[in-house]
Amino acid sequence: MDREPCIVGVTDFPLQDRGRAAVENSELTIQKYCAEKALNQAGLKFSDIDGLAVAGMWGMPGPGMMQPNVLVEYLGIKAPKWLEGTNIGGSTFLLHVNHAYQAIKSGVCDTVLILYGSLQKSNMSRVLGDRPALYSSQFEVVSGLPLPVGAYALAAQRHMKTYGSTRETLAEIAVATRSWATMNDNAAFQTPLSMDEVMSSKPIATPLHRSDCCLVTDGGGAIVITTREKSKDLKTKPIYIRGFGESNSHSSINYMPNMDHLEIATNSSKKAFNMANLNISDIDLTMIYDSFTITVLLTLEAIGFCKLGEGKDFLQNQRTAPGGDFALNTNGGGLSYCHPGMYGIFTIIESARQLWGLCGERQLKNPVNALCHGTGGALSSSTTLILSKESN
Amino acid sequence: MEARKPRPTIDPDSKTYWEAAKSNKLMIQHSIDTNEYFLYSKQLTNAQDSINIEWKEVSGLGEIYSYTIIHSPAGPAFANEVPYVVASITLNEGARIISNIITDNIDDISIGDKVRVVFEKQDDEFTIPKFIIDK
Repeated sequence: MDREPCIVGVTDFPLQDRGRAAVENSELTIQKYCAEKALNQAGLKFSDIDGLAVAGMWGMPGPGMMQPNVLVEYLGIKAPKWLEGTNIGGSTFLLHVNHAYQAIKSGVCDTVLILYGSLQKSNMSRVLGDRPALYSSQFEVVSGLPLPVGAYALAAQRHMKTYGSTRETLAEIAVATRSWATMNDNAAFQTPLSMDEVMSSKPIATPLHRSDCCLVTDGGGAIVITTREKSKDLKTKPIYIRGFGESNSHSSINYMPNMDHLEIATNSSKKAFNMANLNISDIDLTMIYDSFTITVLLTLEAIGFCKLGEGKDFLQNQRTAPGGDFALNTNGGGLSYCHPGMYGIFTIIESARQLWGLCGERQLKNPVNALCHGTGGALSSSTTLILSKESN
Repeated sequence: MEARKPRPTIDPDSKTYWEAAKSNKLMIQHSIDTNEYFLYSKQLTNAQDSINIEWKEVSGLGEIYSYTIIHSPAGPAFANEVPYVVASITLNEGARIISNIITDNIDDISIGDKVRVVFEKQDDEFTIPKFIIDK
């Protein structure tokens, strides 16, 4: 049997009113909706699922501390052969794809459903303070560092000092990302943003201002992965998982080895490119988790799309906007589309849709290879995924 | 009611740091084997392999590794303080720690500025080591 794992279905949850789910939803109904849509897209049923991966911030303390148990029960998945509930922050769902690949390839299970749901906007559960002053974070919490934005601000300030990047460098990212969001009907913000508006947005934690920060929205998504053998009978063309890599270095920002270089992204992307047997120049679409504008700058440099410190030149003149020569975050990103807290899953969903040619007005011209990158925590964890229409 | 500022959940890896602060001392961990200093995490040192670790008083001198001026406070407890500075400071002994910079001139802070520790007593049970610019 041809066990090569491939993505066969994806869904994101429809939002309204600047990133809200319709009122009658729970985190579980959001995930069930996404699961059904993704399975339908492929032509699969719930009874085909024999592996489940899920992560989120809901239901804690309480049942949400063991989310795979809750979803197996709620969706009625009988005797799953494989479960995954790792949570390393917003990079998590790329890790779930990596681990699903290994489970499917080695024959542990055949068809995996990956799920995410959040009502953080409707529940008003997102706040900058009130985190417990525990373990390595006790020092920053006692100091009044708003999290996570303050952590990313420390990295941004250090990057600016070392390499001479500026607020304008970061603004290029916010403006270009918004331009893509104008072509996404499900984006929270669909009106263009100017450099001046970014520069004059209110300071949050310098050098980061409001427009450098991701949104706070509800949302959710689902991904279905199965074997190439099974995909032959399905409605979608398989998207192959050509390469992946994971890396991790710290929890509190204070223990990031060098705040101006996201070394974990260098590590994870190197592994992914080696496995895929592809080069940077083979990538047609890049989807980078944009928790903050600085996250994108650090990630582009660390992966090697430009040299360390040269992001300020690379990003000039709206290079990553529609019509530019580097397609980046074509769904409008966490900055302008949605950010339910753990955004990583949307890098994969958009990549699959672009590779299938389903993106309408913002559709790229025949992309073959897409790179997804997730960061989690306070620049703590990195996951890279290379997806392709072509198999190895 | 005024929101209360967070207090650390003191644990075996931070107990001596907070205890020493009450008597105006800055103490961090030191690896006898590698002669490296660290606080809490061994991430930035090679001390993870060392067996012999002690707590040592350090100079309280260092420089700013990075900083941020906070305009959106970390909850209501810090609302009256904005704008305030949180910095990552490299101590002269090598360890990096995170705390506030106390200054009247918030726009005149730079990475690389020399700083020195001061002790801000909150009450009889709790003192926070903070830093001032040491020009």
